[in-house]
This record gives sequence, C-alpha cells and structure tokens, in this order.
Amino acid sequence: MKDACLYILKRLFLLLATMILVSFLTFLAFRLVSGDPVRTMLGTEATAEQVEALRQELGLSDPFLLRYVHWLKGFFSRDLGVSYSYRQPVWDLISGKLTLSLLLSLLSFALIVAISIPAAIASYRFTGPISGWPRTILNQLGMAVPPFFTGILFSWVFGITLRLFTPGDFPGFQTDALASFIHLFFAACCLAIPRIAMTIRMMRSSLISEMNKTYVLTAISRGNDRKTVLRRHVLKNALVPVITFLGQTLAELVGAGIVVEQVLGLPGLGRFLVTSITHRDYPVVQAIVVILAFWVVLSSLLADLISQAIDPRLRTAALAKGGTA
Amino acid sequence: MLEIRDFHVKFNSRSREAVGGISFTIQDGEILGLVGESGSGKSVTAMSIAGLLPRRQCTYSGDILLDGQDLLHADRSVLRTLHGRRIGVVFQEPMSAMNPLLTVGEQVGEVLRVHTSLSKAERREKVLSAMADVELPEPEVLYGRYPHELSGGQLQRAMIAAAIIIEPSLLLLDEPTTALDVTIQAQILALLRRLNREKGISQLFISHNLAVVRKLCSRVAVMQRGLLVECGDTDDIFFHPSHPYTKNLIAAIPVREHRMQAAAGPFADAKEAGRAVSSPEAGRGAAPDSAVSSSEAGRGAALDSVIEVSSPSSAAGIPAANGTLSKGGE
Ligand SMILES: Nc1ncnc2c1ncn2[C@@H]1O[C@H](COP(=O)(O)OP(=O)(O)O)[C@@H](O)[C@H]1O
Ligand SMILES: [Mg+2]
Repeated sequence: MKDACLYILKRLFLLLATMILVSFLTFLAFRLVSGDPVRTMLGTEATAEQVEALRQELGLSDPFLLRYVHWLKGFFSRDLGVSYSYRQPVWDLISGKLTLSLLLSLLSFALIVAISIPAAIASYRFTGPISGWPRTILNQLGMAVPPFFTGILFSWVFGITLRLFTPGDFPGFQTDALASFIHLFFAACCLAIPRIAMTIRMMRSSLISEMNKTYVLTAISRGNDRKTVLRRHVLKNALVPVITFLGQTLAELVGAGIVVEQVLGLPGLGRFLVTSITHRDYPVVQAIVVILAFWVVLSSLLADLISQAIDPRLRTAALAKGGTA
Repeated sequence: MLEIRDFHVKFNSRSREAVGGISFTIQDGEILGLVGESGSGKSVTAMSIAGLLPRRQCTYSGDILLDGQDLLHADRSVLRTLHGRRIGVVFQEPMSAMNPLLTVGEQVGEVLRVHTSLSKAERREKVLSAMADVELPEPEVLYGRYPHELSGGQLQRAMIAAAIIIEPSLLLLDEPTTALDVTIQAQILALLRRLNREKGISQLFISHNLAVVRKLCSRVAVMQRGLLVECGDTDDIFFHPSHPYTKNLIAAIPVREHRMQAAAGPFADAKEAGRAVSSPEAGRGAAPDSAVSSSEAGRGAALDSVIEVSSPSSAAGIPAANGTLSKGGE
C-alpha cells in the first residue's frame, strides 16, 4: 500500500517535470520562430518609440529565461499572461472554450467506452472467432469515415433537415442547456464513430486471443459455465491491452476535436487556437499547448494506473522500477 | 472406472486422424501411463476424456465411459457437473494454465466456488489445507500471491491442489512434469504417488518420456500416430517391448538410467534388479539397429523427444531422478 502511494507520487512528480519541460520547449520554439508579435500588432506604420513602449508593456524586453520563469510562476496561479490580440487575460479568454472542448472529449470518450466494449463482447458471444464479411465491412467503414465528413453529414441530416440543432450556432449552456447538449452530442458522435470501430475491433481480437489460452481450458475443467469463464476469467485479461489503447484515444480526442468543432461550429479551443496561431498570439498558443500536453500525459498516467490495478504483473513491474529509480 | 472403446478423432483442418481408434481402460485406483512422441495424440485423448475437445472443429466417434457414463457425447451441462468434481485436469505449463489476474488461493478454491455452497471463510480453510496437502510452503502467504510470483514447481503443486480439492475420482495429467527441472519433477512424481495411495485417486499420467512414466505407473499405454501400439504392465513393456516403436523409446533412455533404476529404483526388489541388469544389453542392441534401419522420419523425432541425460544420483537422495535434464547430450 505504502509502495503504491509512493509510486503514484513518483508518477505525479514525473508528470509535473514533463509539463515543465513541454512548456519550456514551446516557450523556446516561439522565440525561435519569432516573427515579432509587436510589429504584427502595431503594423508597419508604427514608430520605434511605440514599438519599444509596447515591448516594455508586454515584458518582451526582459531576458528570455527571466520571462520563462515569470510565465511559469504565473501558470501555477492560473495567470497565463495577457493575450496580445485581445489585451485580456488568457485564462478568461480560454476557460469557457476549454470547458467546452473537454466536455466534447469526455462525452465522445464515454460513448466510445459505453458502446464498443459491450458491442465487442456481444459480437464475440454471438459469432465466436468466425469473422463474417458484413461485420468486417461495417467495421472498416466505421474506421474509414473521417470525423469532418460525418460532421458535414450530420449537419445536413440532423441539423438542416431534421432541425435537431443549428450548425454553426451554438447557444451555450446558460442560454439553452438542452439544445447545447444535443449540439455537443452530435459532435461527440462524429469524433467517436471511427474510434468505436477501432476499439470494437481491438477488444474483439483481444477476446479471441485470450479465449485460446490454456487458462480458459482450466476454468472450464473446473466446472465454470461459458458465461462465468468470460466474465470472471477472460474479460479482465482481454481488457488490459484495450485500456492502454483507450488511454491513447482519450489523449488524442482533444486534438482531434478541433476539426469537428470547426465543422459543427462549436466555440471550443480549436478555432481559437487556429486564429491565435495566425495572429502570433503567443501567450494564448503557449497556454493551449501546455494544457493539451497536460491532457495527453494525464491520459496515459490514468491508463497506466488502471491497467496496473487490473494486472498484478504490471504492478510488480512498475513497483520494481519504482524501487530502483 | 474409465473405459475408452474404439475412439476416433479427426480435426476438420487435417487430413489424418489425430486419434485413429484406440481402446483402453483405467482401473479404480490405478495410475495409467500414456507415452508417445509429441503429436501422437496423447493430449487429444486426454482432452476428450476431460470433455474439452473443441467439438465443432472435429468429428469423433467411439465411447468414453466414466463409471458407465458417456463423456464423449455428453451435454455441456452434464459435463459441467463432472468437471472438477469427478474429473480434475493438470496441464503441462502451469504458468499459462493459471489466470494471471487471480490469486493462487482463488484459483485453488475455484472448484469449491463452483460446486459447493461453502462460505468464503470455509473455502479458504479448505484451500489452505489442500495447499498444505500438496506440500506448498507457507500456504497462508502463497494464498494471496499471484501466479507470476511463484516458481514453476509451486504453481504445478497449486494446480494439483486445485484439481484434487474435492477429491475427484480421476485426475488427468497432461505432461505435468515436462516443463519442470528434474529435481522438481521427481518431487511432483512422489506427490502424485502419495495422492494415489492416500486418497485412491485414479490418474492418467501423460509423458513423452518412458523413463518418467516407469517411475510412477504400473501400467502403460504407448501411442504412435494416433494409434495404441502397446498397452500393458510397465515392466513387461519395459523389458519385453513387442513393438519396434516402443523399443525405440526404450533405446532412447540413456543406459545409466537403467543401471540406476536397477540399483535404487522404486521397483528395486531382487527380481526387478535381476531383469534390469540384463536390460542394458537389450537397450544397447536396439539402439543402433533401429536408428539405422528406421526409414520413417517420425522415429528420429521420437529419439529426440525422449533423450534424457541423467547424472549419477547425488546428495538429494532421490534415486535416478536428480540429474539435470538436457537434450541431445551424452
Ligand atoms: N485444435 C486442433 N486443431 C487441429 N489439429 C489439432 C488440434 N489439436 C491437436 N491437433 C493435431 O492432433 C495431433 C495430436 O496432437 P496432440 O494430441 O496434441 O499430440 P501430443 O501427443 O503431443 O499431445 C497432432 O497432429 C496435432 O497437430
Ligand atoms: Mg501434448
């Protein structure tokens, strides 16, 4: 127990270290690719004095490292700096959009887990290891359809024709919670469909390979019925690789959501990130990059901890590494 | 107690029958050995007795009767009532035969969970005593361990404990010692012998090594390519093999093994010793003869798979079994 706590602490510390490294690298990268944000803001007409004054105001004339340390300190108190373009605190600008994007990711992740795991089990129970072509085609179709295409399709079918939501006009949860949820739900479906197909395929093949292992024969030879063999023995074993895969899926959902947000007109992080990059609004871009990186690292940490909770071999390996490091 | 009559199995994916019409019986309280090179159909036979044959992937015929009850054609629901209660199974690789995610204790007690209405605490008591019975050290500690934290020998003992926990009448052992080193192998053989003596559990002991079978079984059946080529008293077959394949299996046992058997083996009374002393000649005679004249590719494989090189017995005091196992040595 104490070992486990220590291990989790160590992983959290590593997470923090990763975040600091990521933020430093993005900070450095923006300095190197530069293009002077002050010049961009003021236009070519500005005088040298005006430029210098704005540089002072934005703290751009400080040495690089000092600026980074300053930014880092601010980050921990949710002071992400001030947007160059909007002259407003970055946190105020992005917090609402961030919430919406996270909601989108979490909703589509919930759909993926809630649909693909039971579907894979059902598909295995009814057809066994034999693969029929209708299912294969359906599965590959699901994987092949890109979310932006489903987005366009859904806008047309559910939005314009059936009028379940208004594409491009997201009401906001304060204004109309139900309409907002429906809008979000269709966006989440677009994101989830190819990943549901992938997860079903993965879970199914994991089930098939576990079913061929000797411990299944042992379980049968002890008098378990098929259902118990599946539920008590095979399911957890089959889930272990799928959990790692789901961790990666959760990590990439926020990034993948950007396109869907654009297509369905959701005011999430996506569109804002794109405009901020074109305007060289570095404080905004920097904050979003660090938050996305945090999301990625957190997802993989969660996946690791869950698979270790299920599989004692992974636990042993993790603790052994933790002991020597 | 177990009777197999004219039993055939053919897998749909193969052109040749895996088992081509075999008949034998296991008497009450007996340990029957089943030997043969790998691929000769031993496992298929054992799995069929255990009701674990993948029925949809093959065609089969004949009778497998356990105390008169048909196992081969029995319904799944009928088989479930027999599994673990009347028939226990132990596989070759204990590590892969155990669920890596469940504790050893849970798995040893699984038959109790399925077949009895004992409470958790009562099951735990029974599991601990079964674990002690198979001579697992510190049962309370091992109870909560996971398979990957135990050695191969400990796991195999746990598998045996799980299989005998409500004392089935028949124990099927599919090469239970093949994956273990020779010292552990000898201990497991001693354990099986004791379980047979004390609890009267009949056993089908499968091995590709006739020397191992001879240490445990009074009767042996020899299989080759899905057929039973010989079946009878172990010593009769050992000293007077009638089939060339059996001669081959015996010839493949290194000569020193015979001498040690003669000097200190489990059947080391005067008469046995007398026979054993004369056997090296027979063994030596058979080896070059059959190796040269053999035109069947299978025989080479047979030789390979049964060669076991023993070093002279040393401190451990386990006669004729505490050498190191290595293939192709000597
Ligand atoms: N599930 C299966 N599908 C097809 N062929 C099989 C299957 N199981 C066993 N066989 C074949 O049956 C024959 C006997 O195998 P087996 O009983 O495992 O031999 P062994 O004596 O080594 O235990 C082999 O030729 C093997 O390839
Ligand atoms: Mg086998």
